[in-house]
Amino acid sequence: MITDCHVHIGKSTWIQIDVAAKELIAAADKSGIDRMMVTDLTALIYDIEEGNRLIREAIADYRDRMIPYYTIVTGRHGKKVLEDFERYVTDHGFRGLKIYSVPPLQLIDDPYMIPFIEKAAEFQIPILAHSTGEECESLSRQVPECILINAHMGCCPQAHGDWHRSVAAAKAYPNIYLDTTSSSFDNDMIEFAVAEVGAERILYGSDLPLLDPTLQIAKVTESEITQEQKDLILHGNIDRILKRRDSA
Amino acid sequence: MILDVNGYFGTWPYWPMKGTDPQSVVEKMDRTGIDRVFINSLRSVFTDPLHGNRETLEVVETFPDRFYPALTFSPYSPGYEALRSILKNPPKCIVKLFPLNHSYQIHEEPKVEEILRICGEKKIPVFIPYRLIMSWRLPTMNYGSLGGVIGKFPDTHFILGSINYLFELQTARFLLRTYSNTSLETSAMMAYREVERLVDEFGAGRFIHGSCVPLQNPAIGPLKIKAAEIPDEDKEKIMSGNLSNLIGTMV
Ligand SMILES: [Zn+2]
Repeated sequence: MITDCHVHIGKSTWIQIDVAAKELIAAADKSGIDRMMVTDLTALIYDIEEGNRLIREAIADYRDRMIPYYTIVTGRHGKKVLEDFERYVTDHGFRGLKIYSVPPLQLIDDPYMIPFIEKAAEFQIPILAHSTGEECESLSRQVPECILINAHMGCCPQAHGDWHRSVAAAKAYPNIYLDTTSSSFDNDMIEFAVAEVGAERILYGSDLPLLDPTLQIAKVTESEITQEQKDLILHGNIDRILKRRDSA
Repeated sequence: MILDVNGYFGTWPYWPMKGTDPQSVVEKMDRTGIDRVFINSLRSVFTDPLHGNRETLEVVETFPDRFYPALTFSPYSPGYEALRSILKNPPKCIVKLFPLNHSYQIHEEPKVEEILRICGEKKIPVFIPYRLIMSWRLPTMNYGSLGGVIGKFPDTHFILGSINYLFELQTARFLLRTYSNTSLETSAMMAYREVERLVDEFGAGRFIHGSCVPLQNPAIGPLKIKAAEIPDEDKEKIMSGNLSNLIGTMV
C-alpha cells in the first residue's frame, strides 16, 4: 500500500512538464502507488483560480486515486483567494494546501501567507511547503496547530539541500513532517531522519512526473529501517493525517 | 555483471556518513549486486592527490577482484609527475578530474592538457563529475566550457557524470550530440523516464552505470537501469558492456 504525498499535474514551461491525470495514473500503476496527493502547476506558477479549477476538473474521474491540494503561488492575492480555498475544501473535497517559497522575495512565512496557514490549521489539512526548515519553524511558531510537510526534507535548491536542517526543524516542532522526495539519495539520509524524529514524521513523496517514483519508493524500501517503519512512511502516516480533516 | 564507474572511499567531510571504508564499500556492493567499482580516495579530492592516489592503489591491491583505480591530480598540488609515471605503464584505470575541488578550469591548464593527451594515447577514459554527489548542498561545474577541451582531444574518451536534469542535462546532451568521444554516467539521473528518453535519443552505447557508492544509496544506481523500459541488451551495455569496451581498448 502506497500513498504519495507529492505529485504534480498540469503544465509548466519552467520544469518542462505537461501531464494529464491519465498519465499520472498509468505511472502510479506501474510503480504500485495506490493514492496520490496532487497539486496543479498552473496554480503554482501562474494563475491560482484557473489552476485549482483545472485540477478539480482533471481528476474528477479519479477521485478514489487522487487527492487534490489547493495550490497557491503566493498569499498576496488575499481574501478572494482565501475564500476560494475555503470553498474548495468544504465543497470540493480538497485535502491539503500547497505553498512554495521563492527566496529571497517571497518566503512561505510571508505575513500574507499566515491567513492561509491558519485556515489550513482550522481545517486540519496538511500543508505541503516547498521551503527551508527555518521557514517551517517560523510558520510553526506563528500557527502551532498547522500540519506542515517540509517538501523534499530540505533537498531542494531553496533549502540548499540541507536535510540535516530540516530534520532539526522537525525535531524541534512536532507539527513538522518530512517528505522524502528529491534528487538526493544520500547514504543514510532516511535512516538518520528516522533515528532523529521517528518514522511517524516521515512521508513518502515522488514529485512525479518530474522524478521517477520507482527510485523514490526504493529510497524508502532500500533504507535500513524496519518494515513497520517503511509502511508508516509509504502510507500509514499520511493516511492518518488525512483522517484528521474528517474528525476536525 | 554490474560495473560501476563512480565510487569512493575515505572520509566524507560534510556530515557523518557510515560505511565509507573500503571493506564497507565491498559489503554495500555485495548487497546491491555491484561486481566492480572504479574507486578513488576522497583524500585525493580534498587534500592530497599524491597520497590519495597511493591509498587508492593500495585499496585496489587489497580487493583486486572488486575495485579498479580511479586516479586524479591537480595542477596545483603534488602528484602530477607521479601520475604521469603511473600512466606510462598504467593498470586498468580511469582518470577522474575534480576542478571544483582543486580550484582550476580544465581548459586553462597545460598540465591537464598533457594528462588528457596521455589518456588519449593510452585509451584511458577520463571522468569529469559535474558535482561530487547529487546534493543541492554542493557546488556544480561550469560544463559549458568543456566543449572546447573535448573537441581538442578527439582520441580521449570523456565520461560526463553526476548530471541530473533540465539545464545541466541539456548541456550534457549538447556535448553528447556534438562529440562522439563522450559518454554519460548515470548516478545523478533521477528524472522520470530519463533513461528511456536518453537511450531513445542517443542509443544505449553512450551511457555508463555509476552509483556513487558509498556516498549515495548504492541500490539506486542498478535499479535505475533495471527498471527502465529498454531492451535487455541495452541494459547490459549500460551496466557493464560500454565500460568494459572502453577499458578493453586500453594500451
Ligand atoms: Zn514538487
